[in-house]
Amino acid sequence: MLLQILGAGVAIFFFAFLLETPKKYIWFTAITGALGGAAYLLSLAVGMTDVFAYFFSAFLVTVCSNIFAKILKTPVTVFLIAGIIPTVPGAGVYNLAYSVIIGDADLSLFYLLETLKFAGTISLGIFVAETIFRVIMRELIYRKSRLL
Amino acid sequence: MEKNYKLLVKMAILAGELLLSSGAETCRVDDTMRRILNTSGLETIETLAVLTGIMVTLDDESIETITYVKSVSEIGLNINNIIVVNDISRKFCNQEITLEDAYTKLKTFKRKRYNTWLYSISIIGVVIGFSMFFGGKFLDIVATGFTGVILAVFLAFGKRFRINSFIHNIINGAGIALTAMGLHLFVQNINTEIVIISSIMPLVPGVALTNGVRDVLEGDYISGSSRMLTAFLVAAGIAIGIGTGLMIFNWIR
Repeated sequence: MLLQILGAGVAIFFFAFLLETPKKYIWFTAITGALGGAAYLLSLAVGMTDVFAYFFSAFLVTVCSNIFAKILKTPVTVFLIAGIIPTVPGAGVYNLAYSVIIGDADLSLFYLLETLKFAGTISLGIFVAETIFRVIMRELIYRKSRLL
Repeated sequence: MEKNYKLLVKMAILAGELLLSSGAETCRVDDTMRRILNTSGLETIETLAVLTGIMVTLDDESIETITYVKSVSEIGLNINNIIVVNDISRKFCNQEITLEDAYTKLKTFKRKRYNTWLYSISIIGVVIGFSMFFGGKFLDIVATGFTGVILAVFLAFGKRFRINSFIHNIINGAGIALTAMGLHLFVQNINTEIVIISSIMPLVPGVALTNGVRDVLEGDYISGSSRMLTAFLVAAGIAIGIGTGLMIFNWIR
């Protein structure tokens, strides 16, 4: 498990170079990626369903990248893309295309639904987390302005 | 106050184009262009960004209508561009830099940060990391590293000769499949599935697909569906490549 989480971190660390991320943000993207992978693996290990694992991972990654973005004053996308890479259904799309090409209709339908389900779940996780974060930030700013 | 509206629109278009071709969400592109154009204080400001192009209109009683259309064909992922464009447009909107400055900065900043060597090493790092993440044993990780080297060479050559990306994906897929199966021939207890899946991770469009679904959820159906279609096309290229590679391998053996 630890090795797997480390693997996610290593993969995202190097993926950041492929995405031309500036050097000072690369460590943060690696942390976000490892966190996404860890959340996914841990929720599977405690017996959650895979849909929940994807949702939880995306949720945590979004919260984390919003915090990093606030601290480092950069767009959220920088960390968000890196963070969701371990869980995004890249292999799923590949499996879908492969089963379409070899002409297995049942398998391709299965992978189509699977891929859309996971992509949808991750998007939903991002959305929910972003909405909550936005509401909390607005509330904090509002309180601060009332105190002053 | 007399302003150079034409240059303003040009700058907004350039910023939008850079963001769009770097893989930013379309709502961010829209938002950035609108902020830039809002500094003019004119009456009508319309921006429309879809995945394949952007349109901007600026109109007021006092000026002739200015409309620009810019088509954007190449969509990739480039975090550096997003950060820099964001920075420049924020500085411009806060009036820290002038319009001319902002335009030249947008035109001239460095698009690429890292050279091909670092890029190739990163490909190897990514595939090794993913084979660890997918629970590969030591031998699988070593085999994936080797496949990663092959993939990095293929990618570097493809970039050099500017091969069409669909064909390039087919070649990459075939290369990966042949290498993985060839290694399996020598060392029997390699899990070829893990090796192949981790090796295609730098190529597969998972992020594009997820962004597509996000676009659809935000109500931008054109960009969302074209992003998903792009993702499927890339995956189809890789899958054709892998299938061809496996077929060639079985045929040779």
